[in-house]
Amino acid sequence: MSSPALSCQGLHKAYGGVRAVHGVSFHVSRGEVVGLVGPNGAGKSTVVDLISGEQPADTGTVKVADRVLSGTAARRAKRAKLARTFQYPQVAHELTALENVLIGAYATTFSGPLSFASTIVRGLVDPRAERLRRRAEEMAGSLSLSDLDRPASELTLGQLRLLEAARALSQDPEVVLLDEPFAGLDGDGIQGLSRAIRTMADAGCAVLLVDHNIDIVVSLVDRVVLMADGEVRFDGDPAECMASEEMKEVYFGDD
Amino acid sequence: MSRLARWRTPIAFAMLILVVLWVGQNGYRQDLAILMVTYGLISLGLYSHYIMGNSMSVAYNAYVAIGGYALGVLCVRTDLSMFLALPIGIVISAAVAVLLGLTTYKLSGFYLAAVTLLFGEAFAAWLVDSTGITGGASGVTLTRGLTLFGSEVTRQHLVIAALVTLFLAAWGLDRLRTSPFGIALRAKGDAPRAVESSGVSTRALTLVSLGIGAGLGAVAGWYFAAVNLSMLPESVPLSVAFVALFIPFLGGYRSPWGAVVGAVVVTELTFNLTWFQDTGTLAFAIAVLVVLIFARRGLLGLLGDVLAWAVRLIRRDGPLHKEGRDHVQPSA
Repeated sequence: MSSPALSCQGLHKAYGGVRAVHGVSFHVSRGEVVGLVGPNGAGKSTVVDLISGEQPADTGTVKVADRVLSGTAARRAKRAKLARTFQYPQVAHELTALENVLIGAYATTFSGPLSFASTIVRGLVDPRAERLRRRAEEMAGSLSLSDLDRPASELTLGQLRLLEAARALSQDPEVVLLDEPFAGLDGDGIQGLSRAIRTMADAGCAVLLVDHNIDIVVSLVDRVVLMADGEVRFDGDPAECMASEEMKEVYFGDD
Repeated sequence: MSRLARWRTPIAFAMLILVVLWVGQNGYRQDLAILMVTYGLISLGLYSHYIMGNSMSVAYNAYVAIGGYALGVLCVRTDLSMFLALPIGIVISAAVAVLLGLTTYKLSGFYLAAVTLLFGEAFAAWLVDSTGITGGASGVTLTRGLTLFGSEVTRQHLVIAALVTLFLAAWGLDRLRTSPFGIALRAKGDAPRAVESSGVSTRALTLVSLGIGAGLGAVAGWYFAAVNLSMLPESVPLSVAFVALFIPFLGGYRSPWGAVVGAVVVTELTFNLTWFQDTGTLAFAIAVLVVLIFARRGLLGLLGDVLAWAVRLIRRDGPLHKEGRDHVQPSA
């Protein structure tokens, strides 16, 4: 593990009088899988939104490879090679499963105004973009996602989550934010996605994994960040986290 | 790719040749053809940002007028080649659409449609008021004919070029639809967060698609003015955009070729069925409603379903299937 690929410093976010995230700081190194855990309402998904630019932070900074991230989600994703999935899968239901995955693979071709124009022209000449298509198919296959020609509207929740993961991985990212990717997956899906996450990390990618399923998270991650009431309560080894007082307090109360 | 989809382009090309032969030098048929091209290009323009990108901009009377007046003004006020008016009209139209898109970016759905409708209405009023530029209510009349490399471009040539342009526009959009740009654009309507988080700016997608649409509108205006040798404020009323809005649904919204099919049907209904002309767009609206209720994928979708049904029927009764059926007959 080397220098932090992703670091958050003093993130704050409030909605009116409600404090959603309060002074959250942590980092994820290259090749590391970090689990962001905590009960409902802890602020985990908000942190993911603040990192990806879905929502602006009130204060605090997000850095990827020592570069401060700013601007829209698209800008951040492009400049920092940041990919994410959503707590509620965001897929285009009119498109096929493969086309949804392709959005991620194609995103690499839109890197500025000129490339935007050249993408359109190249689209006229070679609309199928075979190389990227093969890459998306491989990515979907590695996650055991089949029936790629089916419309996304016909997929189950578990398949939609795999589809989102495949889309994110197709972006060839350096930092991946996975927001509850295991919810609704069956055994095969969990195994496939776990393998894919490990493969990504082994290739040097920094992965932030948000999930309710503590057992899966602990078995998969290198480090755990425990959140409650918008604050970080623990940051360290998964086994230590499971045995910590903070964990008991957050999940079972003071008694 | 479905069986019908694979044959779309060759069938369309064959249809293009047939239409070109059918039009010939007949003035009435040329009128029909140019109206069909105008409807078709406007519908394809709407297809690019509304059907594919879910952004409804209806200021097509303005975009078409820009294309037509670019030709008229260039012809009357300069000695430049009138073909120059085509790129000029496209660029101005696209720039206006992008500017309109930028200023209304936070708006969507009904509000975006309402603002662009207002712009279209204001632009129509401006065409009448700006007598110094547009010739006011009497419009502009082309004072010289089109020439290309010293040869005169006849009306027939223009109509053929317009038909070929319509074919190329539909073919191009059909390819764009399944290209990286098209897939990102189509995903934008349903899952904008996914597209943004993938690193593709939804704003850029919207603006580019609006620009493409407006450019196609300008091309329609250029041909309209070139063939009719004039452009008037009422040449392309705002209502054309509303008719064009439903044309892809009538023809089939899953492919840009549906817009072309819809344009053919509407042109035919408008000119050749007098009852339709007499009752105005109400009959057209009813026709669209009937298609939407009974064939939600439009006429092309219906055709695809009928073909698929026919193929299934032939296979079921074919000799191969009979043999197969004999093999699996239960012995009891």
